[in-house]
Amino acid sequence: MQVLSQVIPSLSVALLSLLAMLPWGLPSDSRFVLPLLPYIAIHYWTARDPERLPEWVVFLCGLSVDVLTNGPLGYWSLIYLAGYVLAMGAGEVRSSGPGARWLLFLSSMAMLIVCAWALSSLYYFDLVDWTPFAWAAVAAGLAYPALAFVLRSADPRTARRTNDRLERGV
Amino acid sequence: MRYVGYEQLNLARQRASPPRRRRFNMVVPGLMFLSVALLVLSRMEHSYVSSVRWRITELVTPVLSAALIPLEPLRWAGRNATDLFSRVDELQRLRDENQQLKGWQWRANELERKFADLSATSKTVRETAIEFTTARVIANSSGAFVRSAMINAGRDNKVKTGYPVMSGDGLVGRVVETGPSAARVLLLTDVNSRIPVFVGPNAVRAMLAGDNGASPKLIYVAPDSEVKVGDEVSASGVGGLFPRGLRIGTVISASVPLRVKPHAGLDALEYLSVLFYESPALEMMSGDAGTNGATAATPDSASARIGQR
Repeated sequence: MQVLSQVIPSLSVALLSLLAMLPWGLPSDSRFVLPLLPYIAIHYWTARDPERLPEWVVFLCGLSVDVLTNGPLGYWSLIYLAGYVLAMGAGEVRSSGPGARWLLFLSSMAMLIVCAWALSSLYYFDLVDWTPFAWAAVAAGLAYPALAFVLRSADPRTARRTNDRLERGV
Repeated sequence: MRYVGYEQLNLARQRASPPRRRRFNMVVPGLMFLSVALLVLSRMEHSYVSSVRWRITELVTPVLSAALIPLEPLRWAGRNATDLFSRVDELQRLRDENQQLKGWQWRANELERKFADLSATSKTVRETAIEFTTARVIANSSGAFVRSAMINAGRDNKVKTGYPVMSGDGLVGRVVETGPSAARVLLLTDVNSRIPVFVGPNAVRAMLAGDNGASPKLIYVAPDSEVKVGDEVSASGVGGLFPRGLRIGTVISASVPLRVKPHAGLDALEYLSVLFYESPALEMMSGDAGTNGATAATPDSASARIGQR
């Protein structure tokens, strides 16, 4: 169980990276949301317990997304690592409740998407269209609660904690 | 299940999730520096980047192919949901189109008969049929950078760089990189794609240029030429990279820049046919360099140069 709880974060990020590469039949402008799905998992795990998600896993997942989507090598790995740092910062903020965590994610996502747009523009030495980035950020923001629920359910540590039953008077 | 008291529970929770604060180390800055270095190398189109990319692609191709199998029901459901919304309009459109096509069928039969007569009189050599192989799309590009797709057929299946790629509806693009068991197809909407085309019944010459949007634009159109909405766009064969007459799309905007809607649904590609079209231009280029990514941009720039003449 201990091993599983250490592996689940890396596994979930890797699985979402794999899903981001597959041809889902989405319109090309809407497809930008897919590489942001692994970031949701990166933020979720890092904000809670950064020890369970090593940096090199984040880097390798970003690199594999770059390779298989034929993007420039290093783009998504850099964005994911920047997101990792942001999520570590979000973990420092004392917050309670899913609403507060969602707000923290939304603010991290807003910063990250601006970075992603700026990096794309810098890569091309031209201002690229910002609308796909904005839509992708909105979609990822909306997807966060559902995905966070799935990740929470998959986490053995959370499962073990919620299985405790209180007994009055002990 | 175990039974615990409030205090025990609090203690257990504290033990289970002690406040973890990661100490700052140099791993993250180091990996970020590596990412930036890779990004710069990619921008410079370094050959090392291409070879690394293909090594990783070859490793992951079987995983992607396997991952597609359990996801197929999900994709099928998504496609059907989209179809359901557009089915009524589509039915009416198909009825109208069917009426028009019946007229065209009659004309085509007439023309075919005349063509056969004329060919017999002039003793022209008939064009040989082009062989092809069909492959499955296993990965798509996403993001602001490229419009490409990866297929599960490569050099082992006789696929070469530069070969045209079609779906059932029309031209999709061409192969720009090949590995032993996978190849990358540059879609005609990509910013690097340039295809010499004929537009409309007057066969106006132009160049179809992608800009990463859904509808590529027509450039180098003669100012006095008559191009109107609904005109068919097909490959002209100029430059020899594409066979003449391949269906591409229809003009959807008559204002500058003229836009073309591809017949092939580039957002939902599943199976693609790679045409084994050996063009003289490709043979010349393969003499200059190999079949890897380093030559990927060459056919585009070549066709662009040819088209400008």
